[in-house]
Amino acid sequence: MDDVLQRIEQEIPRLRRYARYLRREPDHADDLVQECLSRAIAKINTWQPGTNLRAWLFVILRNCHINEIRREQRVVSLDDDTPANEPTLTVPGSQETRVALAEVRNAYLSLSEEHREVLLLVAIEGLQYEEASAILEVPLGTVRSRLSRARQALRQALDAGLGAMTGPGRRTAEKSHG
Amino acid sequence: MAERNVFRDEQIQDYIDGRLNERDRAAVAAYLLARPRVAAEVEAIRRQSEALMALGQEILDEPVPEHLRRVLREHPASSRGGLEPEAPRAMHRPIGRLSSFLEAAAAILVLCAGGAIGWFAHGVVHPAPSPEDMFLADMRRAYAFYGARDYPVAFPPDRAEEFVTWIGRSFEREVRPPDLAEFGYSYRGGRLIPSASAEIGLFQYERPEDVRLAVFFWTTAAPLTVVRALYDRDNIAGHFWTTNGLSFAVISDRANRDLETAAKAIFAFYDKSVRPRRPA
Repeated sequence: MDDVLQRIEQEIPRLRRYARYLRREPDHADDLVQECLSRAIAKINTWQPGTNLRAWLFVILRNCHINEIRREQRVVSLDDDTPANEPTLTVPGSQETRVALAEVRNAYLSLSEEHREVLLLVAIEGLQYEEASAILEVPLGTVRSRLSRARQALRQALDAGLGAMTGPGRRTAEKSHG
Repeated sequence: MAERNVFRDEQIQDYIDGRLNERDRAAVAAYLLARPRVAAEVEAIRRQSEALMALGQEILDEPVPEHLRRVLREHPASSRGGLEPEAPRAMHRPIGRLSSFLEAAAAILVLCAGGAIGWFAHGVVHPAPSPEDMFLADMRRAYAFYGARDYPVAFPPDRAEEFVTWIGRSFEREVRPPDLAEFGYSYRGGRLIPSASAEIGLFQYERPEDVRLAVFFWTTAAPLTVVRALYDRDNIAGHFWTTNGLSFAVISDRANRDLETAAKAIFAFYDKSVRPRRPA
């Protein structure tokens, strides 16, 4: 038990990154992680040793997020003046790296949420397709094709120089032209 | 792009993500070696993936907030959980939203007559450096005040059902006293405690050897299930959590070594039995 708890503790940084992507606001993201950890311990017996603990935790985290969204949809939000669709993934590093990464970041944020999430799980977190399939609750083939399309979209966004702009803004602009 | 026909995009992607067996991997590698244009595309996707991996790296580099670690250490369902009297008193940030925590703390403060109102105002008007300290201090007072052996309960055990009905009216849902007989506790009765911001329910228990245990509960706006172990420097200890819009605090004497076990059982009981509030 303690060994598993230790491993869960080691996953907290990645849970925080995933939550930050899902929740946008850092404080709420940590609340989500906290909720996830509580539930994970409560149902620790359902985790099968030998399977990917991170993927198991991501399933719980995502479910917490979905539940939270449903709850929030039933109440009027009084404090949310954060711009929508803007996950708080920031870009560290040296000046040059920052510029290059900023382009990737903005191109990434220009993608649809579906594409961003599959890239986050597979390309960023390095999960297997099967694990992403379980987390996203879609068939394996869908993960594969969605991932392929996401990569193409990212490539196109980078080629088109979307990285120089904030993603959601550009997407809105494109829609308004169309 | 006719050269792409030999391998489907899916296989190229599997190659990039390291999903191919050794033989297929070698075949794709040989194929790419002969087709620089496709190889360049693959390389671009690789670089893209590497760049993606750096996104949010600073989040991974951040120190893990102590309050998140404590969830693992102090959850009633955790074997490591519980109170560590020898540990230094750690003040972690209030879980959930500060306002709801202050609201809960304030509600408990109002339990205490007289000067308590002054404390209440103090806690709300000024940023409270450690709301948990306030919360614990006043929970302790309420525990001592109502838990004294000679203090009469409003609803003795033989009126338990009537009490549950009263609770149902106030809380718009059923909240029953848990059966703690297996831990040696007998139910002593309970009461509803009016406060400025919420009504608080109290179930009281005792064991023959003069060990007392109290279950406080109140409606809260905090949406999350959170669990914490609380302990007071002097003489009380407890567990606190929120589930389905209801907060619970299980408080007992600090010397009570079975508190954690009882708290786990109470947590499990309410986790199963507490339903969302009935619509008005």
